[in-house]
Formats: sequence, structure tokens, C-alpha cells
Amino acid sequence: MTMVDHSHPPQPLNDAMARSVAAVRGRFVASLADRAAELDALMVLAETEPDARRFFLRAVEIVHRIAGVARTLGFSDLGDLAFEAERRLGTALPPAAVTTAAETAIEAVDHVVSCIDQITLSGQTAG
Amino acid sequence: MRLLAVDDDHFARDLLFGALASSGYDDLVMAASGHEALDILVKTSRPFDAFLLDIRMPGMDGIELCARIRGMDQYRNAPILMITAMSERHYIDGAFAAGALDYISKPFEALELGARLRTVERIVRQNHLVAQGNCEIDRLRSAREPGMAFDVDGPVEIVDVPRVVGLVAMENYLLRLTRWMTWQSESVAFTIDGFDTMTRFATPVEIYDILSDTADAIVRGLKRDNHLVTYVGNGTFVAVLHRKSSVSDPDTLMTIQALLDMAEPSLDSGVPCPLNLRVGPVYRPSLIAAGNPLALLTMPGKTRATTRSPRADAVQPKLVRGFA
Repeated sequence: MTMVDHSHPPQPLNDAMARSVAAVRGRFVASLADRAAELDALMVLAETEPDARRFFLRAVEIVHRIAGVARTLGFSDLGDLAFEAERRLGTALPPAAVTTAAETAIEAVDHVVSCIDQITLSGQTAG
Repeated sequence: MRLLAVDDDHFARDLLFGALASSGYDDLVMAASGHEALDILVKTSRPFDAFLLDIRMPGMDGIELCARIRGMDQYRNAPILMITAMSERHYIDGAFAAGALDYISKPFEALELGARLRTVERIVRQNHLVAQGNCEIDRLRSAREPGMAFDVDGPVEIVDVPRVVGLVAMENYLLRLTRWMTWQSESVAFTIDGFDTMTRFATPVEIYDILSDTADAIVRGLKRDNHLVTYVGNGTFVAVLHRKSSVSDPDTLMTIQALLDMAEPSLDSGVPCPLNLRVGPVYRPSLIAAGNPLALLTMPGKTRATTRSPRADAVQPKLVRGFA
């Protein structure tokens, strides 16, 4: 009896999607330095200004956008770190949030910035 | 299939465009915000068949936009897919409660997106067939003859009650739940007493109103809890709730019955039609059973609902006299 193999190997992204990813990837990498600089500035302000909430809110916006596309563009580590930073920032947002939550959030954002630094310094276009 | 996709991030929009185009969906309009999307919907001369919405957007978020689109007559049944990196349960609950058909997590895969859209395409084709058949339905409705043209077993879609979702959306919602979320959930079936008899005396419009009023009473009675309700046919609704809800609380059931008593329909046939609900046992999955979230939908229906919801006035139900 002949066994018929109905399974199919995973299909690679087709050409149209691959071209789309390649085109977006370059522009995404080019945008990272500015995003890292803004995140850095926001975290300094969060540490020094009395109301950290508004700086965290803007940081959430930035890391959320990074988390939304980084993995699709091949930057898995950056995507994971951004996702974690977004989660940590979320726990530091409520007015009653404890100081340690804010410190942990800032640390998580720092990891994102470090990862961006590595990507931009190495000149890579995919992680 | 004409699509409107909304995302505030231009990289995400570009990727979405590439993924959709690579799956063969190139009749596509992109918007950068909820307000821009609504503006496009007002101005377009060609209606859209389906929507893809990012949840987290500044200003109007995707959940509010979903509810606004769902509120337009033209798009009452149009498939809406939420695409988001948010995995917390309140976002998932909120998306489906607002009328989403499905929920796709970022980062998305082009192949997965294509597969989901093929399901959407089938629904769009069904919607078109339904629209083409509306004349026949209108004729049947206008006939207003009891007992005709109503599929007693069928999962009629209740479209006018918040937190009541279609069967496909409920299945998609459950499939988005993690094992932990499933374990933290419970479900219960509510069945209208004597529904099959009722369908012989009531017109299709009256039956729809009865189902809608019943769904509304269930949702309002469960108001303290996060829940979604779907109609599964045969006069039975299934509510999926967060565990430790108040669904077993007699006060909740009494509230639901009191709301039903106030909504007692008046049938053209003159047959009295008080609404009474039977409530089944609450299904709470074990940690092992939580591996199958769809059991939250199927298990309550398997156990016949036998507990009659308490009536505030404790009057002998008139339903038995009307339809026995």
C-alpha cells in the first residue's frame, strides 16, 4: 500500500511579501536611532521630573509600535524587548504604581535602547 | 473582496499591505486613524466587504472604531478583524464585545493572515447571498404567518444587543484564549422554556424579537461581569464569563427573569407568551480540560438546562398554559 503524504513543508513568504518586508526593513532600521534617542530622553525625564506618567505614556506609544512590527521584519530580540517594555510601562502607569514598577519599566526601556544601539552600530538590516 | 485596513503606524500599514497583496487581496484602502477611516466610509462610493483594525491607536482606538462601524446599518454584519500586539484578556474581550469577528496577534504571518481572510471571504460571500435573498425574507416576514420560515435549530444571529456575538465570533474568541484564560472562565446555558412550541404560534419577526429580548435580559442581568453571550439555536443561549462571576447568584437569575417579565411579547396570534428561562449548571473547565476552550461553548449545551430561573412574583408560569 502506498502511503500518501498529505503534509506540506512550510511555505516561504512569497515574493510580494518578501519584497514588502525588505523595503520596510530598511526604513525601519533608519528610524530606530531617532526612536532610541527619544526613549532615552523620555526615561531621563521620567527619572528627574515629578510626574513620570506622561513620559511613560509617550514611551508606551513608541515601544508598542516597535513591538508591532519588529518580529515580522526579522528583529525578534528587539520585538521581545519592546513587548516586555510595553508591559512593564503599563504596570508603572497607574497613579498608585510603586516606585519599583517605574524603575523596572525604565530598565526594560533601557534594554530596548541597547538593542537598537546594537542594530544600528552593526549596520545590520535583520536580526 | 474590498478591504479597509486601519493602523496608525506606517510601517505596520506597509507590512499589512504587502501581506494582503501577497495573499491576493489588493482591493485595499488604508487609513491611519479611526477618524480617517470613518471619513472614508462616509465618502466612499463603493462599500467595503471587511475591515482590519489595529486596537491601540491614539485618539479613537480600534475597539471604539469597531463599535462605530458595527453601528452603521450597511456594515452591521461585515466581518471585522482586529490586529494587535495586545494579548491581555480585557483587550480580547473588548474587541469581541464591540463586534469583532476575529482577533489576529501581531506580529502576524502573511500565511496566517491569508488563511483568516479566506474564512472572511466565505462569510462575505454568504453576506452577499443573504443580501440577494432579502427580498424573499422580506416576503416571508411580511406574510407574518406563525410557524413559517423559522429554523428552530439554527443559530440566528442577534445583531442588536451589545455583548451578544455570533457563533463564529464566539468560537474565534474562545480560540484566542490561553489555557490559563480558559481555566479562569466558566459558561452556562440559558434556554427559553417551550421555545419549539413557541415557534409554531409566533411569526419569524416575533421569534426574533423574543430572542433579542431574552439576550438583552441575560446581558443586563449579568452586567457586573465581563461576559459574552451567543445564541446556539433551539432557544438556547450560552454565556461565557470570567470565573467566580455572579451567574450562580439567585439575585442575578431573578433580575434576568424580572427583565423578561417586563418584556413579555404580545403575539399577533393572541396566544399568551410569557418568557421563562431554564438555567443549566455552570461549566468550569479543569486545568486539563482548559486545553479545549471550545468546550466552554459546547459543554453547557450538552447538559439540559433544568433549573427554572426564579420569578420575583412566584406566579405559576403562564407559558405552560399558552403552549401546552
